[in-house]
Amino acid sequence: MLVNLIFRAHQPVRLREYTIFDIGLNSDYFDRKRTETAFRAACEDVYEPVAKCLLKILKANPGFKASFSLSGTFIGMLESGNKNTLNSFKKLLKHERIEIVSQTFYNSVSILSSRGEFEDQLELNMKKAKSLFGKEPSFMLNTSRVYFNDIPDSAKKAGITGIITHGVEKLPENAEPNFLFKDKKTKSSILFINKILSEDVIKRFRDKRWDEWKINEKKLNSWLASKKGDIVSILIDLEKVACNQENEGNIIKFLTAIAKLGKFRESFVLPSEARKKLKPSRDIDVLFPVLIEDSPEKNNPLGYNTMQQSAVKKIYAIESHVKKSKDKEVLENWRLLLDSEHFSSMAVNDETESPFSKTNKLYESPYEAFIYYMNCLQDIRLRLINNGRKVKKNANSKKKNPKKSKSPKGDRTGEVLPRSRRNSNKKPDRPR
Amino acid sequence: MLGWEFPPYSAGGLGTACYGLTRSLASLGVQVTFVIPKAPYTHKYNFVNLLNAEIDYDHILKLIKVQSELIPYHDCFSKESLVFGKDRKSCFEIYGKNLIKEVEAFARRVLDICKDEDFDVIHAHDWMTYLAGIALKKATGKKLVLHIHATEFDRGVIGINPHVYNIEKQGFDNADLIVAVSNYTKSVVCGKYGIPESRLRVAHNGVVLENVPKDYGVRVFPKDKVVLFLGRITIQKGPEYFVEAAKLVSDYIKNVKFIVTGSGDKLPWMIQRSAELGLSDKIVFTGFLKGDELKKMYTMADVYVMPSVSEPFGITPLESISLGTPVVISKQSGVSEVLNHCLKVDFWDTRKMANHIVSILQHKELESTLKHHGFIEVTNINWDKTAAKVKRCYEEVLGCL
Repeated sequence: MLVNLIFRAHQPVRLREYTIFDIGLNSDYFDRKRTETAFRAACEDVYEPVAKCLLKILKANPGFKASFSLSGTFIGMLESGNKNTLNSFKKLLKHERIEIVSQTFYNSVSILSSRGEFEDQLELNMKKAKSLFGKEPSFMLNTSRVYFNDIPDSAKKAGITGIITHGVEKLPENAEPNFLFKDKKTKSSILFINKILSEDVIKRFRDKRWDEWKINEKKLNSWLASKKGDIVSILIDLEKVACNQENEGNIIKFLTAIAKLGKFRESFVLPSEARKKLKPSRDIDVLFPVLIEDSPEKNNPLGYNTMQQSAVKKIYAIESHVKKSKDKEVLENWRLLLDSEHFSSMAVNDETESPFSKTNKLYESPYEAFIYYMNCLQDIRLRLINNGRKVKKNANSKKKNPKKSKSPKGDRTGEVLPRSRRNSNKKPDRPR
Repeated sequence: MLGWEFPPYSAGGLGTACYGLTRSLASLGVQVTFVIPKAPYTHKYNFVNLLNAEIDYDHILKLIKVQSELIPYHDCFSKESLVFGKDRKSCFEIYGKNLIKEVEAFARRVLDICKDEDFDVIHAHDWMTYLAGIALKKATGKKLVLHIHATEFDRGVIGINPHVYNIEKQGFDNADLIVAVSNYTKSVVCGKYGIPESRLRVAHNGVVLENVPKDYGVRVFPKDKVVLFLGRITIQKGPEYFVEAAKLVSDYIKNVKFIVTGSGDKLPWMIQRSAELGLSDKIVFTGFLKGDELKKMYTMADVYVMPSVSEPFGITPLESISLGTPVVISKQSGVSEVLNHCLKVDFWDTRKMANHIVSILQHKELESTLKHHGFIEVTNINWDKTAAKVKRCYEEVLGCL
């Protein structure tokens, strides 16, 4: 049994309390300060110690291998102020026994709404990995909670020939997760994450009441030996580690324990090596999006509530206008708004004890998350309209005849902007 | 149980609350004898034994007319109190003393009447019954539980009445256990009356709703969105913040109207202020309404706003949601502790309030989600949980735990 360890890191950029009174006046949507504070804390608690620990393990244990999947948003945050952690990560990711796995740059579920954007984001992330760490990923980690044929298909267009994803158990043809699979059409390799083991690592590892506590290398070895299959993929989501484990010592202990597996045999493998070593057990063919992860909190993209649906619909409705506008800042802001975390924070349920998603600590309620999100969206629309005007004006002065650009307020939403702001950038009279 | 009113002899929310509580207590096997001042005709309830403390009925009625602020949740303001500020202070002095005397007399009569009654715990609701509760405790040695629906700080219109404060403080000092309707009220009692937290328990109010959202077919402003303010127009209810938010909202969207339902000493000020802000054609003042007319107001509105500065509990948002109108409520209210599917703001944050109002009016999906989940949540807020907590308090003072 081979072990494929994948680390994943992403941090969402939190929205600030962007009210209707900000629309048209400032386009500062994000609570940079809060995001940065949270990020810095996470760096200190998790990212930095994990990176250092892995470097140590790599040095001491020549058999240890692992792969990393970092979102572009995460890397951006590292670059913009956490130089120490960035350097540790650079050192780590440039190591020959570490493979980089791509993912959507802005942690979006764009595959469901816009394949073009999905491919763009994969490419962006690959470019970033290349420029920063000098490696070209050939696998991607599917962070959305859905899977279907479009994913390997689109990924291939972006140059990705391998997918790591959740949930073989949920696919129509039920199968064991611990094998290498192949997409029917694109022949891309597919690896499935072993959900139970991943959860053991993230959630139960620290739990002393758990009857399997505590995990050491012998126990891990016997587990792996008892499992059916060729390869076990364990996903360690560093964001969840940060939430579930009070002190960093725990995940570090786990890592040292698992690293010692190298003693027993040559067991670690990178995704790209696995593809060469193993024969695909069978083909995977999923025509329609299938939900592949149990999400009790109802924040799965296929079961979005009306607020989530409408937010998704409206943000993607302006995609072509955003891209046509050639305004880099608008594009960047729009893409940051695609982060699926924004939509998950709008999840609602009827449980009396904790009616809102537990992971949602960003806003007071899903309703506020929705309100601020929609306000930001309105401002982006307004910027597009104003941009359109400027372009037209310039074009007219050069006596060219540009194609009349359609208003980005394409869908009839009934949202109204105050007249004063719709027409110009002029500051309207502030209410007293 | 000592109360001030009990349906059908009730003018405000206290009677309704006592009714809901006793009914659920009865279903838990607690026998309740309810004492109120003067029941004009007999009315049989099969779950509660209603006793009648004889007081000069006419005299009390006269007092209620003028001193309505002193009755918890009292909504029917008499015409006199609407006369703009005229002689209010002197009225207060004259009748205030008599009212205190009446409360003392009530205490003596309760003592006479309850001599022959068999009971284990004395449960007194709000300050007017506290003296009676204390007297009864001293005479019988039974344990005393006080229930706070509102403190003098939530009611006082022209400042705090020191007599009432004293009675409340005396009650809290003598009580074996105090039940507050919200954590918010609990903090007021701890902070303003210096009562240690360990003597207080919180039992949130429930609500009995005829939860059939019915379309009354009334749209006075067919083309406009309607924002509603409903309640006593006193400083505690935050009318000024409503007007400020209304100004911000109407600057932002054109087709919007505001309805203010209720009456109170701040009404003249409110009318004047909305005229100053140029909202005269946007705000409609309906005066005091009740029954079906009240329900019509809720159903006509697209959003109900409760910007209370201080609200021990606040049942109106629950009524509003049960009639299908989403709410924006202040965080300084007890009901915000039990309600999740609504929007909450600090009462002073009028910009955020306006933002939330506009958002509900603009985004259909937000409105419908709030409606849907709010309705489910409200139908689950009932008196059974409250009664269970109150019963636990009884068991605690009786040493059964």
